Amino acid sequence: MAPQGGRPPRPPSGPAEVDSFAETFGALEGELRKVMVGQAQLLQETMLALFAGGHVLLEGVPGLGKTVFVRTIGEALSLQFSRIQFTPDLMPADIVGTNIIQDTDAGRRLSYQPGPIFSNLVLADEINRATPKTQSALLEAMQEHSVTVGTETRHLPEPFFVLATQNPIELEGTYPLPEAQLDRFLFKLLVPFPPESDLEEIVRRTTGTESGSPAPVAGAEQVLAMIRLAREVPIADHVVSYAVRLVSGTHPDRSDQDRVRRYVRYGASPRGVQAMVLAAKVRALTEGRYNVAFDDLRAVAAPALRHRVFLNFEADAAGVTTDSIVEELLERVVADKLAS
Amino acid sequence: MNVARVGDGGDHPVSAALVPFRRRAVVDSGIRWSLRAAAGAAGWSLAVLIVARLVVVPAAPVVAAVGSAVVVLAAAVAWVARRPDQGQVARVVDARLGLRERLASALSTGDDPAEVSRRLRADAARAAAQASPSAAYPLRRHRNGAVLASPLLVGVLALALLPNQMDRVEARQRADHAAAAREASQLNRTADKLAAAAHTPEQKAVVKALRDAASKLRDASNPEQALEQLSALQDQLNQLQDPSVAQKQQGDAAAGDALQALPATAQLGQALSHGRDTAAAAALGALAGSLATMTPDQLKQLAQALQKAAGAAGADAGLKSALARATSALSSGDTAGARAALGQAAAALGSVSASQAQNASLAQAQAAAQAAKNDAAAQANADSASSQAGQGQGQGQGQGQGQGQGQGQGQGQGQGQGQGQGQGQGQGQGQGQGQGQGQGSGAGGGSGSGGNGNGNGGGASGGQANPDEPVYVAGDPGAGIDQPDPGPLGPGDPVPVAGYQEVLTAFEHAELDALDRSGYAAADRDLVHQYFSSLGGN
Repeated sequence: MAPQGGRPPRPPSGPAEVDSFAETFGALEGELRKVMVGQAQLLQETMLALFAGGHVLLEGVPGLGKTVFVRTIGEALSLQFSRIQFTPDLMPADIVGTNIIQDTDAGRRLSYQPGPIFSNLVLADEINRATPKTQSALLEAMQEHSVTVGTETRHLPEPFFVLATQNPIELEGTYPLPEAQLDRFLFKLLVPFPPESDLEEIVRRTTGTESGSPAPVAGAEQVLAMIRLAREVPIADHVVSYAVRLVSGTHPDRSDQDRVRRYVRYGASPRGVQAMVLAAKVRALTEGRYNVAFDDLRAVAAPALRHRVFLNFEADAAGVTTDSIVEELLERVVADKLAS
Repeated sequence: MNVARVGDGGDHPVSAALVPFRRRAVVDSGIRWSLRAAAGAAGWSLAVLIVARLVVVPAAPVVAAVGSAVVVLAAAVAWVARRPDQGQVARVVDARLGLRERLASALSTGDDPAEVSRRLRADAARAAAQASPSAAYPLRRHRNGAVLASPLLVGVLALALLPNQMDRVEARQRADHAAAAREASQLNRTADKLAAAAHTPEQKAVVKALRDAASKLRDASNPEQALEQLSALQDQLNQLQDPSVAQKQQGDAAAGDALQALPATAQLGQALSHGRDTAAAAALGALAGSLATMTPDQLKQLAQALQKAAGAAGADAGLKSALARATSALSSGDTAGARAALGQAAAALGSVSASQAQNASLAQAQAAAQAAKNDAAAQANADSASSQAGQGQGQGQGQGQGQGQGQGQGQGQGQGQGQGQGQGQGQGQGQGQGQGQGQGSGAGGGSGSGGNGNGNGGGASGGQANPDEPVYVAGDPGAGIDQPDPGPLGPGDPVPVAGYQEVLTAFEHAELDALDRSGYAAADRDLVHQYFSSLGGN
């Protein structure tokens, strides 16, 4: 199965790229912090997903700065940014573009007009308000980094990221994303309501005359290089085995955990393991290491698996969340029996 | 991704850095398996030693030692087979020293030329160099194993040092088996000796009885069983004995005395008187050959001498009859008949000689059986003493057996058997016949611990018993010399008794009836009657 975004060609990373990874990552985080107040974990996990080459689904109530956050990322990375506001009447052609009739010197002819999907960074705002037909227009783009209009397939610019948002409330008139589409997001991140101290800082920043403006820290080429470098990070077999056992543990027919067998309807797909390993590699590099540790996998397990584990009605009734299921797995699945 | 070659510690920097860790891991593994082996061996030994205190376990220390050796060997094999390889060492060190999977990941890169892999190897080698093998494999991790093995070892040590009552029982059983084997060997040696000279079926039967008894002795589980087997053997040997041999010899001697007066039969008389049956047979042959040259007077004198000798032959009916026929033939001038009769007399002497040899074999067999029985009785006493020592002043119960045998001019046998618990039982049998006094005595003594058991048996013939004293002998009144011997007595079996007078009377009647049927002279019958009268009979 091809990883998200497709595997980029592999020019060997040089010492300079290795040296600059953590530096660039830190610089990006610093620029984002100029605009964003708090939300440290959100920032960290979003950047992990971006440098792992994956898409992110942001879930949070309106007004938490999701759009600003995504826009700031685009500015800091000098990426082409576009925003699509998903509404029930949004059509697929409004996203991927369409052929229009143009009058030219040679006469009238059909000419392709690219949609907003043709950007490096696409903000799909309130994605669950569009119809499934429109949502599915994103499937090919997210998986293959290309769109097909008519009979012609057109490649999207690289890097290509989709950061989608959805509102966990106001579910009336929404179309929840199907499992297949959810699976295409590397991470699903929860945007929490900020604490009062952060709120105060938000008020101060946004109601004055000065507002923070991020400086570009990297370009598209460097981002692509960082994505390639992340894939070169070694991971030992027994660490891979741990990731696999975690994901297998989410399946009620394979797990030995009572709560999983009781509350889980479907476990995570193989994309879940891929997401964990890729994100863990990026996390290792950000910490100055060159290998994936068990801790890296544990750190990214929740955002990588929470939208890939589907609970049953009993879980809903009992207030069980996928995060609690994943947390329990992290506690009970032994990383390396040899070391115990 | 290539995997680094493990074990060579060569060109891979992490492999080289892991060498001391691997050495330590091997030692650590050795300690772990040693503790497991100690716990396993101690557990096994403890179980064996505990069981050995409840029941007799032959060679319990050997069983414990062999089992422990097997456990230790298995642990050694497991240790060798499961020595940690470099990858496992790397994972353990990573986990225990918090190296965040550096070492194992670096090993997994092999010789990958990528910059990230190269930096990982360098980083891992640096981390390994800064780490301490003893920190990765601390001795305290074996605390649980030591805690498990220590009490087991202490328990084994305690049980090994504390006395075990079952050791005495086992030693006694070994001694019993050794004694049984010794007794069987003794019987077999006697059987071998007798088999070399066994020509008659009766002698071969003696040999067979000895071998059978030896075979059964080896299966005896205790001295009591051995005693039973040996008693049965003695009974069997008694049945094979010809009790009339001595009487026949006495008759032959008396006949010889009667023949010495005549010069022609002096040599024959001397041979008979001295019990030289072969010489006597030769003299009879010579006498038969000289009949043709004798004068009528000489023949008459010879007839008279032979008649006198026939009268004196007494119990040797064959010789007596042959001499009587020779007398009759000579009296009627039938020298050929006389010659034939003298030949029959020689044959009769040969029969006596064969019976004598048979009895000699039986005597040897009896002696061997008796010696074995004494040995078994001694072993039984030793067992009782050992048991009593183990029980202190408890309620002991023992068994003693004694047996005696004596021979006089007559024949006597005695057997005694005693059992503990304060009861003694004795059995005696005596037989005698002929002129003079036969005397036999046998005495056996036995003692049983925990009680007093004494058995005495006496056999007497002649006027040894006080007429006023009631005497009891074993067996039922009846057939005297033809009376079958009583069967072997088992421990605690009641001994059938009958009044001595009753038995003597029955015996007298039987003997006189036999004399009547043989056509003996009235004087001879009177002699026998006097004999029985002297014993206190009619």
